[in-house]
This record gives sequence, structure tokens and C-alpha cells, in this order.
Amino acid sequence: MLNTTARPDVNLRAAKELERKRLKSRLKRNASLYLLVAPVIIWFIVFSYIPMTGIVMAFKDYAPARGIFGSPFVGLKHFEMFFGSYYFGRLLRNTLTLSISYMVTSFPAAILFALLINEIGNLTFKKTVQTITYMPHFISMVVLCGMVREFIAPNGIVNDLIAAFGGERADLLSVPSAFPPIYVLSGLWQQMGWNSIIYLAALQGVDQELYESAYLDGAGKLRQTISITIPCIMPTIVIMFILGLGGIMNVGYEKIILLYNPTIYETADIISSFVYRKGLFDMQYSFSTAVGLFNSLTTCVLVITANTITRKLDSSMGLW
Amino acid sequence: MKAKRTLVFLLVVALACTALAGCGEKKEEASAVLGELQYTEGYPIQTDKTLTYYKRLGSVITEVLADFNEAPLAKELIERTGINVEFTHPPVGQEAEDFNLLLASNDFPDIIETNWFFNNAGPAKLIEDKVILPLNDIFDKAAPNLKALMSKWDESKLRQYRAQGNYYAFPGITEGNLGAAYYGVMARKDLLDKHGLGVPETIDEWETALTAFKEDVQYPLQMRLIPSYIEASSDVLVGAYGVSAGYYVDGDTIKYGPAEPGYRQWVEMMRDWYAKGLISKDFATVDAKTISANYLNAEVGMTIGSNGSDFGSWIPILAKSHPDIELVPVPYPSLEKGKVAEFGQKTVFFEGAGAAISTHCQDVELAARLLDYAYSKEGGLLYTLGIEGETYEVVGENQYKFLPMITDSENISGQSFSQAIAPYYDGRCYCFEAAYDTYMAEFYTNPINLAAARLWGTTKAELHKLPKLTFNSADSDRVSMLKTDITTYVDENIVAFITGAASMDNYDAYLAGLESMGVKDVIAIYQAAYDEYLKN
Amino acid sequence: MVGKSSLSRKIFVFFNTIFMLLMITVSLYPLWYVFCASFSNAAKYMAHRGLLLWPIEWTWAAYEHAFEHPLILPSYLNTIFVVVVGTCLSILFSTIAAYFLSRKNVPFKRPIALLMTFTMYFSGGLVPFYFTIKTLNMDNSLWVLIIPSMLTMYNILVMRGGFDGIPDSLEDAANIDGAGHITTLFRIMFPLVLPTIAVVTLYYGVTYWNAWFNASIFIDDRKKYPLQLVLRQILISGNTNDMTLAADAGSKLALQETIKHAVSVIATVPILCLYPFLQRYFVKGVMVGAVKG
Repeated sequence: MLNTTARPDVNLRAAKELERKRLKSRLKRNASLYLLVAPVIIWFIVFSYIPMTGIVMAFKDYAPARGIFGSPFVGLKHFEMFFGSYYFGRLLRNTLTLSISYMVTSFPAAILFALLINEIGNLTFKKTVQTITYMPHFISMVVLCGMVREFIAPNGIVNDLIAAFGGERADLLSVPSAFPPIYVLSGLWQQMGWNSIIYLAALQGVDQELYESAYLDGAGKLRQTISITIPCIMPTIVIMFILGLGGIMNVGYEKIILLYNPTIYETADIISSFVYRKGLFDMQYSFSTAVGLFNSLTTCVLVITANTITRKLDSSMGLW
Repeated sequence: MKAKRTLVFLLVVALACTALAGCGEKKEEASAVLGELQYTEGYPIQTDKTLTYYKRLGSVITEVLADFNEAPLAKELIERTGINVEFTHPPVGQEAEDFNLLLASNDFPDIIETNWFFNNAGPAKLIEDKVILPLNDIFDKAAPNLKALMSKWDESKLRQYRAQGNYYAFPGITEGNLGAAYYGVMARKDLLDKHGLGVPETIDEWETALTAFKEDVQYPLQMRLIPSYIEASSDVLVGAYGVSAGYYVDGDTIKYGPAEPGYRQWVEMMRDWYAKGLISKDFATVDAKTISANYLNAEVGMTIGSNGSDFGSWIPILAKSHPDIELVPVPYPSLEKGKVAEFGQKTVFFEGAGAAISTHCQDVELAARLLDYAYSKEGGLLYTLGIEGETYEVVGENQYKFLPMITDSENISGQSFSQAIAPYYDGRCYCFEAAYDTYMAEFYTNPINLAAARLWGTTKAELHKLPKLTFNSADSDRVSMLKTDITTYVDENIVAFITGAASMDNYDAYLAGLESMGVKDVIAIYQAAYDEYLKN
Repeated sequence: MVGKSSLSRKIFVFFNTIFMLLMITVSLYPLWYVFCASFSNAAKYMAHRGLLLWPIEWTWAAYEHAFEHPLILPSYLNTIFVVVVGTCLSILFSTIAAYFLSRKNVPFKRPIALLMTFTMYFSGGLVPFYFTIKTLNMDNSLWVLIIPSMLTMYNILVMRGGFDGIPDSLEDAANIDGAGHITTLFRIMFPLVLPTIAVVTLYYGVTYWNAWFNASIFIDDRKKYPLQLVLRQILISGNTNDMTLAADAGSKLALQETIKHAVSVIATVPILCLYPFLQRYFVKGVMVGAVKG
């Protein structure tokens, strides 16, 4: 560049110089911080970014003996295979239905549950409730689904209740419309206590003085909850919500294949159970990488949107 | 500007990663060829080399031993052959994953033993990719025992462990019928007797028996009857109509059951039975635990199950809790009296398990000699019955008897038969029928189980079973793309027909739908691959 | 807690207590079921239908057989090593990462944060990961169960939430006192985020305890298997859906069902004890909050 307009250029250069100086001093001031965080960054590069080159497998016909880079390039073949499947629309719909309905119930449920636990006066009882409700998280899926089957069988306890209220006994696992509630409720049963742990911890961080001053101002319990508790744990809620969004495409197949059958494929068959049935989960890395990539991209869009909106509303919150 | 800096940074990272990941892909040049023979005939062989041996483990042996290196069978094998072997194993339940990673790692052990049918790529491709060696020449020169057996086998057996003209494994084979059929139906003999009925053989007799059972039990027939499940198990009932529930061989042609006319008759029969309450309402959802609970509570007339893990465990329990109950094996049904069922469950000569020699093996002859030992008479006995004097004794020519350590293991070591024999046994070679029959006779301690094994084995199922076919990659993709959708479609529709949720008038629409999903393409691909298989 | 003891409050407390009792019952039942099944007579258990409220004919048989398994005890030790060492390392590095992410006015923070967050949604899959580990020569050692799963972005973010909750004034005070980052982090901030650290310790501890997959692909030596991989093999070996196993016979098979439950109990009880132990740090968080004012 030639200096045709001298003065602005000088100004610009001065500004740049200043910025560089400031940056230098900030870098210097934080030198120990970079030193601390260096192993973490190296870890991420080695264990996440180096393996990430494997995403190219989605566009190749990966054959183990040929290696990732030696396998032939096939373009979008695996995506076509996935989108071109006869049932793709239904799979996507069911995946979203199940995960969204689980999220919109489990998410508030965990917060509400944490708030209710927080209201328990007796400390021993409070601890007992916390300790016990988190335990179902550890029951293996096979055992849990076995119990679900037992409970909703035609002669099981759920049907006993239905019959007691004048309803008709039914094999609930062959009623398509019953599957989403079964899936969601059994999920709540297993995870609600566990999910509330993070909020319980956040609740402990709320400054007790805030309550005292609110009490002096004559605010009732409900009022205190709405105007003190919730805003105080809001950062946690937002983070958990955005993280939760990340899981929306990734509904695990294990629970599905333990509970579903052809009579309810209509509502129960999802992307991951489909991939599982294809028998490809362990065999065809390229296809499952392609499906994974599709899931990741979809989630990324969701998460980035959510994060942007959050930051617009309150720039101190959000993931990054 | 900030965004640009980030982008550059990410790019640099990505590049660095690519460079690093590339390092992992070094190819080692295979050095394996069979050179001049250097070892003497007979065992033990004089050598100080150690072979590495990748081996799938059965689940029972993992209950009693930490790994196969500790097994008396392995120690005896090493001593007798004089060849030192180091075994490694894939984790139970992760075999496919582990095997594929083994291939990817480009660091193969000398010997790879796995089930070659479970591998998508197929042995032909693995030979082409220089993972395993073609064995034709090696069999001729360095595997005298196997070669001697092979001279007695006809072409229909030999081609089962050959791909595109190349033998790819020292095969795990089953001679004899006794262990081949382990899945079938049993009925309540006490109920049949009560109604003056014999063991049902035809579909009509089944219906008579089931109708009679309705008086006595809640579930005359309880089993999981969705098409894909029947296909995976045994084609029971549907086989009576001359079709399988999946893809099968009929003469020289490949057919798909659910597209055949006979299948419709089966569906109509099932629909009728469902309406009459002969099959349980939960036939599409019922699971193993429910069936076994109902069975043990004497509420089931007939069910299908495994001779060992289902009936084998129910019979002793029932003997205590319901001494009046008696079970009888039921043959796979047919339409006409006296006709042998065309379909059923049966293990064929070669089921895919075998040991291949990898291209990284430095001493092919030694590996061949180690594997060949299993096909000698002493080797066959060792692999099936264990060590003479320790686990079994010889009581006559070709007659063997297990010793109390095995037969009375329950009292001596507190182990079941399967657990007691596991450290001495490797189901890789059943080439000596006498030894195998000794084994099976002990395996099925109860005469009912033994009778069932014989009865269920009378079907002609082996004539209809698809062998391991090799597809080219375009076909293989097309098949895997279409097949799952077709199975889902069939399952869903057939269940609706049986329960009455769909009218039989829609059956033609169902067939049209099946066609539009490309079932003909799949059959054609199978047919081409099968023709190729017969030619080789 | 501060609140009026009004009538509505009393009604709330009453229903809340009822609700919590209900939750206890509902949550406890699955565990109780597994517990009862593991102590039941195997044959009677197989014939049993409906709710299981008490062990049927109390017996230790399933546990005796479970402990006969040659790998149960060694794998227990392996798992304990992995959980203890792994969790300590995870907490150390996650704290550092979270502290970094919560700092303001640090150059390159946003790209680095983005770099880390990105990994939550994209991964290269198994094969390249396998190569990386092989190239690093980490396979077939217990460290392969620790190092590659040492950091989870999710947990780092949870922890960052904890740091974000600390008022800036505190850090400013530390800066004025001339404390460097290391002092600020470990002396001043660390005690303040204890409730969050307790939660994250629980998350990491449970993850390490339950992990089996890496072991299944990287560990050849069966004596180095962690408990969960052994548990998995036992659960699978009883799975009659696998046709290759359907031919296995023996009177022990009925016992398989109860052995599965016994092994589940053996493998679950120790990790269940982690939570009550960590719970007191939640309470400590309140005290810290009080001191703060």
C-alpha cells in the first residue's frame, strides 16, 4: 500500500500499535494462565481433533484393510442411502417426537423436583430423598426395561389401575399411541433424581441474605422462588438447556430395541434403532459416520441458534 | 477479522492433525509365503518359535478361566505339537468391532480364528486385501490330516469354506446330526394324553391339539411369532407351507418367503388361530422372561425354545414343582401326514467358524501344522473330549466315556457339565462322529432332550439354507440398503394381518408394496451371487 | 429457610412430604427388585410373575457363583484404580479448563472455547480414535481407560457455571493482593466452587466406574479388564437370543438369571456410596455463601 492519505494512516498505525501493545501486556499478564491451560489444549487436539479427521470416512467406502485414506471416495453415497431409505421421514419424526417430548418434560421436572427437595425442612429426610431418588440412574437398561414390561403387561400394575378406574385392560406395548408416554415416563422414573443433582448444587450457592431481605419485604415463598431462586440458578438452567439440545438427535437405541415390536414401529422406530437393525453399527463405519455427521450438523444448528438467542438476551450467559 | 483468525487457527490445527493421523497408516509388507518345507512329519515338532493366535472365546469358558492360555486344552496342545502359542481374545459380545479394528490396525497375529460369516467384507475380499492367505497350496503341502479328511468330503461340503476358488480357513465343522438341531417345539404330553391325542405332526393336528389345550391352560401356544424373528430362529409353522420366513434356496433358485403364495396361506392360518384364541394375544411383544414364567406356572401348552437353555433348564424345575407335567418334543409340522418338514433349525456342516493364517505370519508351515493337528484322530479327540485319563477313557473301538470329573461335576467341583468341560473343549472340529456323539449324549443328560435333538434334526432344512455369499461392493450396498426396509415392512404388515387390524383384501396391495421396495432386486443379487458360488 | 407458617404453607409441606415419600418408593423399587432377585431361588424366580416384594426363598447361591468367576476380583481392583486416579486427574484439569473459560479479558479465550465446545458435537468416530491410541502406544494399559476420557466438555461447562457464580469483586481483591493465576485458582476460587466440584466429581466418578467400551477395544490382557466389562460379558453370556449360545445346556442356566442380578448388585453398590459422601460438600457451599456476606 502507498501512503496516499497520510494522516488516517498514521492514526491507524498508532491505533494498531497501541492495540498490539495492549495485547502484549495482556498476554504477558496471563502467561501463567496459558501455561496452566496448555495441557488441556494439547489434550483436546490429540484426543479430539486428530481423530476428527476420520469424518472423511462419511464420504468414503471405508475398508479396514485399506485404511481411511486409502479407501475409495464415494461422495454422498452414504447420505443418499440414509435419506433415500423408505422410512427416513418416519424415523426422523419419531426421533424428534421422542427426544423433544422427553426434554420438555424431564427438563422442568428436574428443576421442579430440586426446588421441592429444597423446601424440605427436615435435613435427614432431605438427604434421604436425594440419596434414594438418584439411585435408579444406576439400574441397567435391560433390567429397567424388563420391569417396565412387567408393569404395563395386561396383568401388570398399570393395567390394574386402568381397570380400577373403569378402563379396559390392554397390551400397552402394542398400542402405538402409548409408546411415547411409556418412553418418557420410564425415562423420568430413571433420571429425574439424577438430573436434579446439578440444580440442588446450584441452589446451595444462592445467597441466603437475599431471602431474608425478601422476607422482610413481605414476599411469600412462591414470590421468593420466582424472583430470587429462579434468577439465581438461571445460568445453570440455560447451560443445561443448551447442552440438552445437543442430545436431541442422539436418542439411544438400547431402550428402544428392548421395548419395541412391529405393532408400534409407527411411533417407536427411530434413527438409531434403524441403524442398529441394519446391522451396521459395528460393521459399516462409513455409513454410521455419515449418520453421525447428519446428527451432529443438525444439533450444531440447533445449539448455535439457541446460544445466539441467549447471548442476545443476556450476554453473560450461554456456552461461549 | 476475529473470525478470520479463528478460521486460520482451526485450519492449522486440522492440517497438523491430518499429518499426524497419516503416520498411523504405515503398511507393512507381507512376507508370508510357503517356502521349502522344513519340519518333519509327526508331532512334536522341534521349534522354539512362538505363534500368536487370535481366538474367539465361547461364553462358558470365560466363566471359569481368565483366558485360554490357562486352559488345560491349550497346554496339552502346546506340549503335543511342540509349538508354543500365545492366545489373545476379543471381548465377548464385541467380536465384530474388535475384529474390524484388528483389520484396521494392520498388525495381524499369525493365526486369526473367528466366524467368517459375521464379517461383512467376506473372506474373498480379505484375501484380495492381503489380510489372510489363500490356503489351497498350504493344505496340499502342510496339512496332511485335513487333506486326508477332505478327500472323503464331496464338493457340496468343500465349497462351503472356499471363496472364489480359494480355501480361506481351517474349518470348524460338524459331522453328524445330533448336535445340529437344538431349537424346536415341545408340547405338554400330559395334556395330549388327557385328550387322547398323539404328538401333533400336521397343521390340522396342531389345531386340534391347541383347541383342546384351551380348556386347560391360558396360553395354548405362546411364542414370539413376528416374521423377522421366525426367520432368525427356525421357520416353525411357516415352513409347513413350503416357504421360509426369509431368503432361502429352492433347488437352484433363491426365493424370499414373504413374497411367495405359500406365505399367504400361513398368514391366513395365523389370522384364524389368533381369532380363535389359539395363539396368545401378545405374540408380537412377548419376551423370553414372560414365556418362561408362564411355562413354569403350567399355563402354556406348546412353545418353541432352545433344547439346552430353555427346555434344558425348565425340565428339572418342572420336575420338582409340577411332577405331573410331562413334555414331549414335537416335530416341525407339515401339511400332509407323514411328510418330513422342509424347514426347521439346523446347523450345517460349516457354520463360518474357522482359523485363517494371516499375511503377517512368518512361518506359514508351522502355523499350518499347528492347526492341522485338530484333524488328526488324537487331535479331534483332544478338542472334543479333552485329555484321555483326565476327562475321558476309551471303552472300546471308537467308544468313549467321560470320567466322573465331567459326568459328576455338579458334586465334585460344583460346576455344570458345560463349565466342567469348557477348559478341555473347543468346538472347532467335530470331525469324529463317535467322539462328538459321546459329547452330545452327555450334553443332553435328559432323555427328552436327546429325543428332541434327534426328532428336530429330521428336517431338510440344510437343503434350503443360504451359504455365505460374496457380493461386489455395489451389490452389497444395495442389499444392505433395501433389506432392512423390506424386513420392517413385512413385520409391520404381517402382524397387522394376523391381528385383524388390516383386512386380507389388502394383501395384494401389500405384495405390490413389497415389489416397489425392490425385493426383486435383492433376490436377483442373491441369485447372481449364488450362481457364482455354485460355479466355484 | 425463612417462611411464614401459614395454613397454605402447612398444606404445601404436607403434600410435599407425601410426594417425596412417593418418590422414595418409586425410586427404591427398581433397586429393591434387583436386590430381591439376586437373593431369590433361581427356579422360583424364573416362574415368578408380577411385583417382587421380597426375595423368594433367601439364598446366597447367586453370589457364591458370581465370586467364582475368575475375573471379578482382579477387575474390581482395576476399576478402583481407574476411578480414583482418573477422577483426580479429571477434576484437576477440568478445574483449570473451567477457570480459564471463566476469565474475562483474556486474549484468544473465545477461539479456544470454541475449539473445546466444538468437540461436543463432532467426533471422528472409532477408527481414527483407535489409530491415535495405537500410535501413542497406550493400548493394553490401564492408562488407556483414564487419559483419553479424562476431560468431558459437558463437565467443564458445568464447572464454568460454578466459577461464573463467584462475584468479580473477589477476584479483583485477589488481583490487588498480587495473587497470580495459580494462587487465585487453587487458594481462593477452589474452596468457593466446592459444590460444583462435588457434582462434577460424581459425574466423572460414575463415568469411570461405568466405562467399558475403551477397555473392550484397547485391552487384550483379560486380567486388566475393568469390572463393567466383566459384568457385561456375564450379562451377555446369559442372553439366549444369541443363537450360538442357545445350545449351551446345564442345570446352572436357571441360576444365570439370578447371577445377573447378583453381579449387578456387586457392581453398583460401591458407586452408590459416592453420593452421600459428596453430599456434605453441597452443604459446605451454603456455609461458604454465608461467610461471603
